[in-house]
Amino acid sequence: MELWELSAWEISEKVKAKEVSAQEVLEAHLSRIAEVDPSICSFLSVLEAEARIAASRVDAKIAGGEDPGILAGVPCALKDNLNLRGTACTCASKILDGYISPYTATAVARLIEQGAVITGKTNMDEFAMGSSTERSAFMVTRNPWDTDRAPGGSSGGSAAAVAAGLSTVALGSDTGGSIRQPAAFTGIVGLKPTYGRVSRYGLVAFASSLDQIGPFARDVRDAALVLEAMAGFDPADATSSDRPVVPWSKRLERPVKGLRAGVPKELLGFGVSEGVKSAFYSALERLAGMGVIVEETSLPSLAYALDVYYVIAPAEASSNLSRFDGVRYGLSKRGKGYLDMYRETRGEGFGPEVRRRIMLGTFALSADQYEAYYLRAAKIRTLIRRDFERAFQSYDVLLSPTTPTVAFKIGEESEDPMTRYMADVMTVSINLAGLPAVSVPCGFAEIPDGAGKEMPCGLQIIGKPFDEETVLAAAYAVESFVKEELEEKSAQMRRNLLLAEECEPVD
Amino acid sequence: MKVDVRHVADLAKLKLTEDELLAMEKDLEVILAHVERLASVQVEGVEPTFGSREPEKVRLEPDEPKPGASPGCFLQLAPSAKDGYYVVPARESEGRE
Repeated sequence: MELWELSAWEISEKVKAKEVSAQEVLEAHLSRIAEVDPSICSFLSVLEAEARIAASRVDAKIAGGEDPGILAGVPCALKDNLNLRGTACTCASKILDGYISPYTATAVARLIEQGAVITGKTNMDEFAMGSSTERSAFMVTRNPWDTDRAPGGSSGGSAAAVAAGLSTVALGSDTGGSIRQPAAFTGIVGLKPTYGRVSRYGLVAFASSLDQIGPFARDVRDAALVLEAMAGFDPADATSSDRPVVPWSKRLERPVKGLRAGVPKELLGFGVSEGVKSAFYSALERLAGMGVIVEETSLPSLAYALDVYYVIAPAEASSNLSRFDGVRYGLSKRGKGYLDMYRETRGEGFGPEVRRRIMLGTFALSADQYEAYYLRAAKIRTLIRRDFERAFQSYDVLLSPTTPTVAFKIGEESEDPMTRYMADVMTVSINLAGLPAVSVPCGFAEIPDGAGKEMPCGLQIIGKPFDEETVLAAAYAVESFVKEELEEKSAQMRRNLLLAEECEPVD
Repeated sequence: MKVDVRHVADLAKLKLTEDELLAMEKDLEVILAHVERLASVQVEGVEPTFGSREPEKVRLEPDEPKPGASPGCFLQLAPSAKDGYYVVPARESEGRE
């Protein structure tokens, strides 16, 4: 087995036991990135020099008898909206041209303290607004399972890097599904923790009441390990929780027999494709066979979640993105007066989707429209939260497919923005309610007219606030019955990547 | 719903070309036509949710200075700075900074 194929917990154990050095693990990954990333385009920047210093520090700690941490020598990529001191942070936007982070995000600093080696910054939809990673100002990332298809988004670079074996784990951010949807599209595990579980300090804000940082990994144990390393109270984020951090990676084998799982019928009513439905129901049968009590349930207000999200998220974004004004950092177009500077910098620096959301949010918050749009959406958000609270009186977890379809083709997104936003229909309600949810691979679906070609599907497991333990244990149970098929097909996919064509940058 | 996109772009401090304004008007109309379904939901007596944590659980730190990056470290990121200050164009269009 190659070093880039190992899981995080395997790397950490081997590095600590001096079977392999952190530097050897890193070099294997840097070579793999050089070989494969030209056809995937997952990294916006590879931090070779910085990573080599970090890896040698881990090795020095071990040589000196110090504890190197639970992620000793584990390569980790960061979505490019997470600040790492002394490196560029672009949010895949031209407006952050020339910006170098003056500080490091708390979640990232904690991973480094635990021995992780940061290898680079990954591509994303500009300012995390999108579901395909095609809305980056710099390049389009490809899905390693089929390089004609999108990896999902907005954290598509991180998902593609982990799936392709370019990074053992990666961080993403999830405001409406931006970790779970790309995880489902690329056949890996993606976890959105409970709001407040992981500090948002150092994450470039999109919608502050919805954003959470979370891990991508190729198995559930690795996702749990990364969460363990970065969760916990941080005084720099007023909304971070002081709930104790749980050793989640050691609690995965908790029996699922007797677990009560509800399937909200509203989440299956959004044009779910036959292939995804079939993989989902087959996973439900396997879970029932393990003693999980699976029942259909109803959360009526979920029918409005997408509309509520597309009022609240743009409203918060329009406020958060007002800081990009050409004064303190990044692009600055100096016109006649200071108002021209704002307008020209923002008009030129933001891409079309970001401008659209700023406009929508500004409209929803404007004096005439505030009550009809923003305030009304905030009230319906209360109804959505109540529906979840009610459901969790009867169930331990709720289950749904993560996405209505498998990964779509690059360039196939609809011109109609609302049709595009439907890609988030299964995931946005979880952010509105601040709940934890994971996407775990649950099987494969044939592509219509694809001559038998298959793409991975994800199962979404939603939990009670701060109950990541049950969510991860349920995900571990699902993983147990797909593991063999997934590992075999993933290994084949990774071998094929060397034959893929190189991708081209965006004009 | 007809949106006065020129006014909204002004509020948002976004310079858009005539073509961009037209496309934006169309896009916002499509999105708002969908979102208008929210008007039919009964929300009388329902309190709004503005955040994902209960307000009483949000902790504010004492407003005291703490050691951190120096002002110079931030100023060196500025497109234009002088004597420890950010430089911006003048309010009036006098062509001076």
